[in-house]
Amino acid sequence: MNTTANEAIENINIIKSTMDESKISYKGLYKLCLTFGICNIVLTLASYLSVILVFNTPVRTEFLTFSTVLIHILSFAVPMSAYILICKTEKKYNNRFYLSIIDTWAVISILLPVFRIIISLIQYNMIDKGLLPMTDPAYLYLVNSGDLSGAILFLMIIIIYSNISRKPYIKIIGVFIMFVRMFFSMVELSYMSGTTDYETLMKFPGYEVYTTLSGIFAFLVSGIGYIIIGVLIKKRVEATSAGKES
Amino acid sequence: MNMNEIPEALCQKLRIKIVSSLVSSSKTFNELLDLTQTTKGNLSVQLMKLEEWQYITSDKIIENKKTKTTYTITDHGMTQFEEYVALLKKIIEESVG
Repeated sequence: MNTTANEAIENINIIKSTMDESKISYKGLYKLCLTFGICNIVLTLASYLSVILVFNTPVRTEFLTFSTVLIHILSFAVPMSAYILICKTEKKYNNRFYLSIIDTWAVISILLPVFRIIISLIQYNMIDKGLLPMTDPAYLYLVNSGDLSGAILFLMIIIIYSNISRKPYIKIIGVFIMFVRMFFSMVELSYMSGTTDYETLMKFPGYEVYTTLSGIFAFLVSGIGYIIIGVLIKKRVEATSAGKES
Repeated sequence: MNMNEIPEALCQKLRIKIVSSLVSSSKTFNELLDLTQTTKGNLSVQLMKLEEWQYITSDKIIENKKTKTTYTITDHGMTQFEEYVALLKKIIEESVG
């Protein structure tokens, strides 16, 4: 076969474009990260806002119930809708490794809010009504498992990003963040953001008036942290497809 | 590899596309269909030829009661492909001067 220079260029172009197209885009992953991060920020701010507004509304109980139910529903409905939409477009890639990453991560991120709803229901129906002590081992186990699952979920996405970007030290940062989160949970430093008035608190049992340091850290990680990881994955994918792989 | 030694497996554009797309990772039939934008019949024929020449291997699994075939490039296929790309590069460099 006599391959001319033009044919060689044409064939090189075919090879290059096919290889570019066959790469995993990770679009679904960074879209999930961004959705999850924005959802966490909006819902956390909404829950704080409802805490402030509840004292200024004549229908306090109804408002509190409505806002709590709405926030809980949205906390799993938004990631679930995003997952369904993203999966529709990503399924065609058929890369089992990539799809299993999205599946595992999305299932945990959808189950986590459901888990929190169960904890809230137990708190509302049993703890607040005095049917179960706050120190009940089963209840504490559920609360701790929820916190730990959130931390592991974030560690998971950091490890995935570390592998995509081929920067192993990012895994160490992920582990460090997890340890900091656990440390804050242990020391339980907190500041007051609502009221300590006993009578008001009696009217609204289970009403959060303290913000713990671990709570702020969890908010930063699960909100801003996911957005940062999402943006980093997006940048990495764009750099790779532009041939700037380091 | 020189110009007279280009293997038959890499003498056709569709087969070049198939081999190129398998370099990064294994692919299923549907994925290759999507990447090559060809007909099922044509893709099947070329995949069979590449398998005969030991450029690729296929692995059948049953998923949701459907057979799913995954294709992977072999070491021989990878070596031939790398030599082919090196040859194309050499041709272009020589033509440029």
